[in-house]
Amino acid sequence: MDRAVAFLLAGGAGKRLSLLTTHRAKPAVPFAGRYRIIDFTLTNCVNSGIDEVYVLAQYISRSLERHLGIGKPWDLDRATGGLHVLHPHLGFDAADWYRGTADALYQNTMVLRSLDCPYILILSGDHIYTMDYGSFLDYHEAHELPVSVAVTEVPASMTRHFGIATMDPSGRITRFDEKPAVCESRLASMGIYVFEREYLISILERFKSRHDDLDFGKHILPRLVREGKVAGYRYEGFWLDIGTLRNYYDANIALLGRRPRLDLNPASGVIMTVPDEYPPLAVSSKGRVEGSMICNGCIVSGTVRNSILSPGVTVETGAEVEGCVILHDCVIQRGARLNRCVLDKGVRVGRNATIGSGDAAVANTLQPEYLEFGLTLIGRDTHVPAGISIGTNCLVAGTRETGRIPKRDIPDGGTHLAHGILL
Amino acid sequence: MILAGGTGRELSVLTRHRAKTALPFGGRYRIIDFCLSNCVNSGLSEIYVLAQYNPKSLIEHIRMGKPWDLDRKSGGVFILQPRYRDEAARWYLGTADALYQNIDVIKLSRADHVLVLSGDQVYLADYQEIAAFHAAHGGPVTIACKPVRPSQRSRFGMVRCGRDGVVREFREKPRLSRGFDSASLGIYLFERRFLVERLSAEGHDIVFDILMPEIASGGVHAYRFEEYWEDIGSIASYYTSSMRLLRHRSLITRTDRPVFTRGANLPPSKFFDGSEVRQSIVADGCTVKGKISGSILFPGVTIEPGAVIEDSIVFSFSRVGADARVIRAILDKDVAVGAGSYIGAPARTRRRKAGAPQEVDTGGITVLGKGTKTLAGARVTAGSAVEPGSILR
Repeated sequence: MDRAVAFLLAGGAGKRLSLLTTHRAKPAVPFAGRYRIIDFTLTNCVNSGIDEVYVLAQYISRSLERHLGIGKPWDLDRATGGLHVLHPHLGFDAADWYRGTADALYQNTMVLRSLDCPYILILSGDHIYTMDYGSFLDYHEAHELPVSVAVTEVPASMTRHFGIATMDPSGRITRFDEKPAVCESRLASMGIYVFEREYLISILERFKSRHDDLDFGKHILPRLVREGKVAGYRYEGFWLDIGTLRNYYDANIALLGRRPRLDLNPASGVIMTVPDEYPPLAVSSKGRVEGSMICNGCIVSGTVRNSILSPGVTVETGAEVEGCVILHDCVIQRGARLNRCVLDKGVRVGRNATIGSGDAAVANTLQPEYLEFGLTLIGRDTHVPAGISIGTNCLVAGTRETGRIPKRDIPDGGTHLAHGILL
Repeated sequence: MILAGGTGRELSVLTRHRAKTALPFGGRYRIIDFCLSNCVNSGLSEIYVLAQYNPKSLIEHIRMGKPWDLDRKSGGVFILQPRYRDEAARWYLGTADALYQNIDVIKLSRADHVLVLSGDQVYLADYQEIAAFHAAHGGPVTIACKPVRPSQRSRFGMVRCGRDGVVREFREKPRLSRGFDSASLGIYLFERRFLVERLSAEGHDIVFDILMPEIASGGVHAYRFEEYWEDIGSIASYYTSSMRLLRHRSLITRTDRPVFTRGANLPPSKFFDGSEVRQSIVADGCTVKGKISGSILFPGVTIEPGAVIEDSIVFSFSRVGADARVIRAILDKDVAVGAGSYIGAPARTRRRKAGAPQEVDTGGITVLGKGTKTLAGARVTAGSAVEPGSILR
């Protein structure tokens, strides 16, 4: 019998990632070149000896399911246990979309009951970190409380974005404030929980009648803290919740430093993902690569600086790429110049086009709240015509059929979304 | 049936620990990947690999055949090694003997044809084209041939064909090659019944014991394969065919004939500020802080600051220390070049170093065997072949 089975919440829409999540679930967003965000949590499970994982999916789950397959890359294709994707389904008396994190589990109480493990580990598919859940479970067992939550210290300036916990010396959480304006503690809940399985079922049933959109952070945790049922497990390593476009970009670029806080080759074992079938990277005699991370299948004949290239990207002669995150199979044609851009998969940038050079002070017109820090985002399969200039803080997406956009310049903060693409 | 039992002696220290067919090639592949991928891309899904020399590396690489989608309920990939069958049990004594010792597999097959391949060649082919040619021409055997320059003809088994595509004559590595313009590529398509009939305990070689007699009776046709094809025979040919990829990467990267391999599951390669990369192939998981040009790095290689790698091939997980120089060298897996070492240094004197003469001529290429360590400041003369696990001062 396994000690714990993991439930991975992967149904969020990730609206704040803008064009990156108009056609894929947030856990399936590519990260650090060859990975998807969900790879980190799945790898943690496997490296922690948890080999039965349920992924709760609902928002555009096709990309996620294609990536997960039967769980082979994580050795989760098993005769017993293994990887399972749970969608909202009929046949349950309260059948509906998953309306909250805890509601998603409530709608799968049948699965929870069918298991025989003592603990349930509740994880999120949006987090980037390397953690041994085994120690978390050990800690939980030592505390004899029915619930443990992992907490990590965040800067004082960030506390208003998290659920903030106050712990007593014994490790019990005595106070929990969701996104407080002011607080003394800087320990943020990571949204990762261990529950006694039986207790979890009873809690879900107890709370469901009160809240349709039952949520762990909003409804369950504050109440259980008041009842003194929750222990806090301090996690000291690197942890990041990919929430916004800005921290997505920053977290990628941070990997290029001499000693990045996120180690992609940790002692606990490499991050596992779907293998790629590309030939290795080729740099031609005219190519230049500096301060960058580049995957298999790329061909670099131009200049690449401080950038991350996912598999299969081509940078032609004379093209310059600086401070960019370029996803799979993009082509940057001769003489094009890119500065601080995120290019989704399959983007083609025509000859001598320039993207991202401009005034970062002009926020995006459509999504000023997400895009005001000097970045341009080009949507999937867009064809940027030769010679045009796209400024900074721009959002650009071509038509779904051909990827075309009109052959005219887009000023700083400008937005061009082809018909049918909704943000 | 893929013949993968050769010892690859000419490859010297590179094949001390591994089968020749498991030799890394092109930055992330093993040589046998090309043959296996060709099979899969041609729709073949029942594949037997006949191995006997250092098979561990090969078995580890192929395993259940997952990367080639050959982990199947019916068919798939199987590794056949010499095994105890009866009192006549022995090693595979030759190409035909390897087939003969597995004649049960061939007899039990329900296929009409048996395709016999060499696991130590690099090329992208669609075997269905050979099958179509075979069907159109009739006869029990079709062999694949490729025109080669006269200067190269003494390296190969050469054939002389008639206009009708029938092979008239076959000569192994001929001195005089007039009329023999095509090299046999070691790719044979047999009618299965014919092959079963001709295999015997006495005939050990496909060319001499099966093809030659049949050529005499006009039953062998030659299919002309005009595309890229390399036979990895020696250190020198391994080196030149690898270096050729730097300028002609597309030789092994055709989208219609993808090459599959077992991935290393490593993070993307990272190039630090101050690093320089020119005209090179770099697989994933590398850390580059120094300068590389005209070189091929396999997965997980580390090049420390100030190190210079020129015209070299570095296998997986090797590490080149700060300010070291590696010139025209092949570093096998897990080699550690100490700081300031010079690999491929010009000889100090004209006289050859005393001691046993080298077993093979590497053609001036310096080869460090698997796990070799050079201490800081070591100097390894160009053209040396260093045995695996050596420690050099």
